[in-house]
Amino acid sequence: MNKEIFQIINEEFSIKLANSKISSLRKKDIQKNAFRIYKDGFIGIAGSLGEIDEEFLEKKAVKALDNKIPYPYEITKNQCKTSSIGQDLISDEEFLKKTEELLDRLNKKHTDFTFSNSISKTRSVKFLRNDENTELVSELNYYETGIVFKHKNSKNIIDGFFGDEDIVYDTSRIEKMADMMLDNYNNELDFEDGEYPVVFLTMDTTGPLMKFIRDLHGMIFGTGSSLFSGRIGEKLFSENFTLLQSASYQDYEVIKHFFDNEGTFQENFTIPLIENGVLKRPYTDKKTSEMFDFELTGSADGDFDSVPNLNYETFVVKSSEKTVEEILGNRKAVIIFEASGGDFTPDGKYASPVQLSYLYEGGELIGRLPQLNINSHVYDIYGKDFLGVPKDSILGLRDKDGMVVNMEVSKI
Amino acid sequence: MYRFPKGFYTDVRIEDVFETAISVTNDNLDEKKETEYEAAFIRLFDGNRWFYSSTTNINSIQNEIDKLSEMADINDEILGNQIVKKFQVNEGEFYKFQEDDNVRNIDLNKKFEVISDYFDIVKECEYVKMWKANYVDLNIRKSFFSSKGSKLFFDYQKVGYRISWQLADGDERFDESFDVSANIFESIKNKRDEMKEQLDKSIYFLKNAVNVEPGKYTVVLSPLAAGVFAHESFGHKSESDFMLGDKTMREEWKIGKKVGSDILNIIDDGNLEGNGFVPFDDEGTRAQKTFLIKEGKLAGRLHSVETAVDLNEELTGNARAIDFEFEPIVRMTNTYIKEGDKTFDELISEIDKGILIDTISHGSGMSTFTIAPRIAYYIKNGKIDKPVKISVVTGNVFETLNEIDGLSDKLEILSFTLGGCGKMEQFPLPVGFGGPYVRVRNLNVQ
Repeated sequence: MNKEIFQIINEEFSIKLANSKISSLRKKDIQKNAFRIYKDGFIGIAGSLGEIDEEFLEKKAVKALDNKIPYPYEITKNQCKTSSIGQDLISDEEFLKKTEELLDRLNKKHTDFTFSNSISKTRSVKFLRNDENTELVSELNYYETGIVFKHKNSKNIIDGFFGDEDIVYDTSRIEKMADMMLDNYNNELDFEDGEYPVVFLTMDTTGPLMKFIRDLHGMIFGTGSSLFSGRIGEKLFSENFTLLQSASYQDYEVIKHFFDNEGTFQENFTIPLIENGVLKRPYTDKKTSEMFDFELTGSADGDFDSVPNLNYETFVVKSSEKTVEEILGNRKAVIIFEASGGDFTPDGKYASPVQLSYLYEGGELIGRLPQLNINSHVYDIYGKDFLGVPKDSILGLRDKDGMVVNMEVSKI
Repeated sequence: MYRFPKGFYTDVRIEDVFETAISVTNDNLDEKKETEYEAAFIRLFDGNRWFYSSTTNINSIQNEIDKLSEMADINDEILGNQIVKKFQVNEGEFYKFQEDDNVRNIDLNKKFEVISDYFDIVKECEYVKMWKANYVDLNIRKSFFSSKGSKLFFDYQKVGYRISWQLADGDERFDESFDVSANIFESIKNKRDEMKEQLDKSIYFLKNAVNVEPGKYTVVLSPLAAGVFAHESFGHKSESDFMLGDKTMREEWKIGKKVGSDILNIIDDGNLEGNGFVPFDDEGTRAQKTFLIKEGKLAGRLHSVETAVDLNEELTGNARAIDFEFEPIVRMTNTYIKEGDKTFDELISEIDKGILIDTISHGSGMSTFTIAPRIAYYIKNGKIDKPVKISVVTGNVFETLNEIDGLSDKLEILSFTLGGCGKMEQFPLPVGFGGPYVRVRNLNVQ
C-alpha cells in the first residue's frame, strides 16, 4: 500500500472593472487537499477544502478503495524537486494603485472606448508527497490581465480584448498593446479576398491548434480514432513545424506547474509531440502510456480529488530561425485577435469566422479589417502553408508572439 | 447569525455541496466518487465599490466580514443607496429535492447502473473505437443571509449522463454522444432505444457524409441547435451588465424595438425544470419568467440588482455565480425560443435547397454567432437528403433574427450534461436551452 498527499493552494487578489471604473475587489484563499491510497492495483481518494486533516482523509481514502477503481501503475518514486516561477507579488495596495493609474491612462488616452473585466495577481502552489520518497513543490506567482474594450458608439456588447500574463505587472506593456489596438481601431479598412499570411497570436488553442487537442489525445490516438492514429514516425507536416508540450517559463514564458497530477515531469519541462514535421508521440498520462506503450508525457490533469485523467497541457509551436521580415517579406498580413467558434471537420477541414483582426504591413498595424472567414485544412496549415513562428516579435511586446500560416481569407 | 457592520450592505452565501462523478472509458472504470464540502462567498458594499471574499472555512465568515469592512469606507447613508433599496428581502425554507428525490440519498452503485445499462450497445458496435460514459450529479443547499434581513434556504439539483463515442471506418472519423439531463434521478433511466438510435444515426453519418459545398443556405435548426442559437445569438446580449452606463447600448436596445421576425419569441425562465432551474438567484431574488423578445420586439432583459437599478427596470433573478469562489453576475437560466405553428414536415417541405442541423458540438456569439454542427443533412426539394460535413455555420446576429421564417409546433428544453455556459472567468454554469425546429434563411455554411 502507498500513501500520497496532493494539494493545490490558490491565493488571489482580483480587481474587477466595469464601465471603465474599478467596481469591486475580491480576495480568495483556497486550499484543496486530496489523500490518495494505492493498494493491490486500486486507488482510493478522499478530498477536502481548507486545513488538511490527514488522519480523517486517510480513513476516507481507505474506504474509497471499495469503489474498486483500477490503478495498476507505478506511482512516482524518488523525485524531490521544488520549482518557483515569479518572485514575491506586490502588495494589494500597490497592485490597486498601479491598476488605478493604468486605468486612468487608458481612459484619458482612449476616450472613444470603455473598459471592463478584470486584473488579478495569484500565488498558486501545487504539492505532491508520497511514501516512495517523492516530494514535488511548484509555486507560481503571476499577474493576469484581461481587459475587454468596447467602442462607445458600438452596438456590440464587446468589441475586443487585450491581455497579458506574466510574472511582473508590466502596465506599460499592457498600455502599449491597448494603444496598438485602439489607435488603429477606428481606421476601418476594406479587404480584398485572397490568400494572405495569417498570424495567430500566442498559444491560443481555440484556433487551429485545437485539432491537436483531440487527435493527439493518447486514448483517442491509441484506440485508432485519431486522424493521425498509427502514424508515429511519419513526416506528416512541414519541416519547419515543431509542436511542443511545455511548462517552461525560462524557454517559452509558459506559466504552469512543472509536474502533472501524477507527479510526472519532463527534463527542461518540455517534450515535442511533433518535431520537424514528424509525428513523435501523442500526449499521455500513465494509463494511456502503459495501455498503448506510448512514451509518458506527463499530461495527467483533473480535479484535485479525482483520479488523474488525461488532458492536454500547454502547446507551444517552436520558433524558426527566421525573422518576421524574412517570413513576411513585403507581404501584407492579417493579424488575428479574435477568431472564436470555428472548428475542424473530422477529416481535417478548418473554417472559422474572424471577429477582430488588423492588417499588418511594414512592421506595424495599419488598421482594422472587417469580419472575415478563414479556411484551410490541417495538413495545409501545418504543411505547405506553414510559414513558421518568427524568432523575433511581430507586435514588439514579447520575445515571440505569433504563428504565421498562408490561408484563404474572405470577407463575411 | 452574523454581526453585519453598520454603514455597509453585506450578504453571505453558504453552499453545502454534494456531487457525484462516475467515468468509464472502454469498459475501464476511471472514476467513481462522491464529494461533499461547505464553503462561502461574502459580499460587502459601501455604495461605491463591492468587496468580496471567498472562503473554505465557514467558521471564519464573521472574520471575513470584518476584514472586508476594514477595506471599505463607512457610508452612513447606505440604506438610502438605490442598489441597497432594490434588494429583495426573502425568508424561509424552499427545499425542493427531498428524500428519494435528493441525489445525496441514492446509492452510488445505483448511479453506476444507470450508465452501465448502455455499455453493451457501444461495445458490440464494430465502428466504435473508443467510448466513454460519464454520470454526474450535483445538489447544492444554499443559505443566504443579508444585512437587509434576508434569511433564505433553498436548493439546486441536476443529474445526468453522457455516453460518447469515437467512430472510425477506414479513413473516416466521427465523434458523437448521447446526453440525458434532468433534475430528478428517476427521470434519467432507461433510454436505451434513444441512445441506440443516436448511435445508428452517427454510423450512417460516418459512412455517408459528404463535404458541404460552402455558401448561403436556408438552415433548419433542431431544438438543440436552436437553443444554443438563442442562448448565443441573443441571450448574452440580454445580460444587462454589458449595458452598465452605456448610452449607445441603451439607445440601440430600447424596449419595444423591432429586433427579429414577428414569429420570434425568446424567453428566459428560472422556474422551469432543467439545468437552469434557479428558484432564487445568488442575490436572494426570486426567479421570474422574462420575455426577451416578444413577437419580434425587444421585451425585456436579464438583471442583477445593480443592473436593474442602472437601467431603472425590475429584478429578474438572474444574478448567478458558478460556485462559492465567485461573485454573482448576470447570467441566463433556461433560455428558449417559443414554439410556432408548423409541423416539422411542413418546415422542411418548403425548402428547395437547405441544411438541417441535428446535433452540434459548440456555439458562440458576439456580433457574429457560430454553430459547429456534428450531424447535419442537406435538404433537397423539400426532403431530407444526404448527411453533410460542416465546419461552422455563421451569421450576423442583428440580421439573422429577422431571417427566421418558420417554427415547428413542439418545444424541447435541453441541457448539456457536462460543461455549460461560460462568461469571462466563470465557466461552466449549468443552463437550460431549447426551442422548436427553427428555420433561418441566408446563413453562411462552410
